[in-house]
Amino acid sequence: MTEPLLRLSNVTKWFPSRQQGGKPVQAVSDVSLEVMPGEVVGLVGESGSGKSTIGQTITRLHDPDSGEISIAGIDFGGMYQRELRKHRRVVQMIFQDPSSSLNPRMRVGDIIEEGLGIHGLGGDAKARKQRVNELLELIGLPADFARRFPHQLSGGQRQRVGIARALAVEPSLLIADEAVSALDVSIQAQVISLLESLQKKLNLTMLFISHDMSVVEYISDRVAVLYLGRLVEVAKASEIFRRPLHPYTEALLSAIPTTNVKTRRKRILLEGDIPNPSDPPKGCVFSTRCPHVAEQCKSAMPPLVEVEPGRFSACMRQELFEEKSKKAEEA
Amino acid sequence: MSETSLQFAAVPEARDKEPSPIWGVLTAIFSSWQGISGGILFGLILFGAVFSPWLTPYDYTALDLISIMQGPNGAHFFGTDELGRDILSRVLEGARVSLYVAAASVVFSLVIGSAIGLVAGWIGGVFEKTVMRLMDAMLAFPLIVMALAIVAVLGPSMENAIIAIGITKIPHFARLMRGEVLVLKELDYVRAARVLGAGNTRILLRHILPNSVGPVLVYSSIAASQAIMTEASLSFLGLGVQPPTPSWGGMVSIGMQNFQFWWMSFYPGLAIFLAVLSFNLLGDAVRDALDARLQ
Amino acid sequence: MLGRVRGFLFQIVPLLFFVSLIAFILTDLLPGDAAIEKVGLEATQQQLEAAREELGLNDPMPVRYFTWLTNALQGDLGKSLRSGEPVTEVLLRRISVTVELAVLGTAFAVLLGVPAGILSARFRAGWIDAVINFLALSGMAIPYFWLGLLLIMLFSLGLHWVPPSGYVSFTEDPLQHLRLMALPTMTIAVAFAATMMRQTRASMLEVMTADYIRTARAKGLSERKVVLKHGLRNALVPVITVMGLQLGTLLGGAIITETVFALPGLGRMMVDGIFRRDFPIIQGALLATVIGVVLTNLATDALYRFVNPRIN
Repeated sequence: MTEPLLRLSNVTKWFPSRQQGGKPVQAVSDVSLEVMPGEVVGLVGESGSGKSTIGQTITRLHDPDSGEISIAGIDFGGMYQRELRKHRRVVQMIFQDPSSSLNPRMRVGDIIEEGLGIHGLGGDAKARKQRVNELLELIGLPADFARRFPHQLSGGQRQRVGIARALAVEPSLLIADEAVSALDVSIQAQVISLLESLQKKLNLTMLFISHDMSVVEYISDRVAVLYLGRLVEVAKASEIFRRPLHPYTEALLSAIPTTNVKTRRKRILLEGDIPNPSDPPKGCVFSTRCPHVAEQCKSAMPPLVEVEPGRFSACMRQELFEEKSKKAEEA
Repeated sequence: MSETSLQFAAVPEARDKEPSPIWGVLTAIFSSWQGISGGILFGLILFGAVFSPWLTPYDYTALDLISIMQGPNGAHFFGTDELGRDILSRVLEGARVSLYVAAASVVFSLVIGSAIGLVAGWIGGVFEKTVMRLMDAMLAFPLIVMALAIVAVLGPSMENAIIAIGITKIPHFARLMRGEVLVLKELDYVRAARVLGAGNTRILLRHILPNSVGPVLVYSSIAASQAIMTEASLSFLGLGVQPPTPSWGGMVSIGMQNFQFWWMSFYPGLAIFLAVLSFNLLGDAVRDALDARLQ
Repeated sequence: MLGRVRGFLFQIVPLLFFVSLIAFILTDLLPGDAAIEKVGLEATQQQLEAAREELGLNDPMPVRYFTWLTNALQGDLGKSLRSGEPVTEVLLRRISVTVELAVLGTAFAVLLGVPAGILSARFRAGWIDAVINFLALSGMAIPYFWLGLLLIMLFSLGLHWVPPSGYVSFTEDPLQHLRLMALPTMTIAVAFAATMMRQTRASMLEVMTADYIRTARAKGLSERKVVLKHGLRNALVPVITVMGLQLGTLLGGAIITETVFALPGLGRMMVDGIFRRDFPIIQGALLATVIGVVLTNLATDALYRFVNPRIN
């Protein structure tokens, strides 16, 4: 039984309110998740779900307010910043916006090389240049791109440079925070393919954060669904898309446009808006919009329980879904 | 599927040109009428300042008590002053003084102010708030008032004028820099550097500083024009550059006591006007050029 | 509401603290012994020591600061070392002159600058715009003392329209008063007018491209009405705020102008104080200037927030 590479235990992150004297916002609440080595876990949710915050907290761009974050056995969440720096190689991030993820004053080669310099990797200057060339080749860009500046690259190329920068320090865990969301659809496909092949080639462990379900479906082994900072469902990708167990997941999936008539789901339209994160509903966070809401749902937030082997769901009304899925299977 | 995607990606999609960014800015600056006229004016003044000893047959200290208070004539284009010195020579020498004081004080305030703003903006928290309050307090003092007070404390001299003027502009640069840092701190490439494990010094020097240069440079031209004006005012009041070193403000002050001899105050004042104007024009041009590039 | 007041105090108290501290430190650092200034160079050692005690010069700095501060808050700013007159009285006498100069100068600047800015925005990129813009840049480049002198030479010595310098209060001789204030007002107004013009132009341009202007045009209103009625009203808001924030620059110009025209105002008070080593006077003038600027800035800020509730 292997140890998980990433283990989040009851991680919580608050942010102070933007207004004077307003209530603090709980962006991430009591999130626990394990990611095995070599696995790709997709983290999905809408805006405001806290998915980006989780990525930023794991990389210690923010400090967690409570809970533990363990990466490759290291207590990443609890370390002081000073000590942290040495260990930072272990997790790297790919950012969303190609126009701001690269320093406009640095050449591509220097951008990729920076990590090597910080951690003293790669040997002397010549060896490092060699390594940079290898990385450029890995992401599919010609070697002479090393001399270019970011404004001379297209969006897709810049994202690839971002990938190379992350891979340069040989991280164990790679977090892709909406890595393709800002790209044109055709370019998205290229970059996703690249990520996929790199993951297989280098046996990377990835946390793929996105709001785009179809992309997540393609690349993930497992999927975790977030709503208002809380995990509501975790399951294998193949299963979650066929048979979602949480009402929110169900609604989310129903919104994916598809031309395949057979797999097209009935659109579930949710009433109302996402509640204000500084004033979450008492009881189940989804209770204000859930089509299956019952009285018991309003009393407490249901915990994430393992309803089937390897499948977790945070819904009190499991019995509904068991019924439905039985019906679906019989049909 | 995975193999083809790697080849696919090798098609270069970008533009191939490699313009040097500095050249682009320079051409932009000198394509507007402000840039051109400001540049020409500034060039003339700089020329006059650098070559001042050689441009006139007179030494600016040479007394000639026979020719005192002569109006502009063939021998002395700007006339002579109360000690018979050639005013044109003194105005040219005054250009040296003014440009020197302006440059020195701007460098002084730029370096110190930027450092303060950089550190305050990066560290944040109570430290930043306190420092910024202090800067705000300094800003409440009108420039001349504060420069006057500082010169009064240190004693009137050219060096002290430089320090005084420099100190008055520190809060402006600090505010500017701190604003830039706050914006840049949130950008993804700075975050990426943190995630990579870069230390604070590296991030500040490599990522933040080079990208905050633009507005600071633009402001330097404004600061320089204000420096010239402030120095002239201090010298006019007798608290700046001390005689016998010629300074435009000082010359106007003496001219004021002899205002029937209008040339004694007119030409030095004109020089101040043209110098400040040239910096204003250039400052405008630089700002427009940098604004256009951001579009 | 209480939260707002608290937030406001939170901002202003440290500011005022630092401001008063700076003002105090600056005058504290001035070379020269206040005791000597008071009793003269011929005084005996005993008299000197007595003066020192009396002036509280032997106390450590924080003590002196707090003494000074508490006195100041009660309206006691010490006495002039020269004349023995209470500084507060001197201040009150002189403030009116400077305030009048500032107000007249502002009025003039607005009358001159705002219409120029509107014109400039209206005929953007035309020759009118270029000329006005150039005039504005020039206006900001003219040294106050040079302009003042030129005006004196022209209007006073040349044309004999007004006396060259001096001051007479309004109550004494209104006509002469106005004649004497004419040139100083113009001197101080020119640079300010230039700033107003640039600000008005920029503000108008921003407003004129907004959607609601296009709607007004589409409704068929005349161009003039569109510009004046709809555009101007909104454009004026930032202009007024800038105006309020310019007090500092105005006061700086006032110092020079008062010196050139021999006006008994706040600026002259400070300069004279420096030359005469009259420390309480310097301190008083410094403090008054700075508090004036801070209060005006706050008032302008409050006004802006009031007019534009979105900003908070």
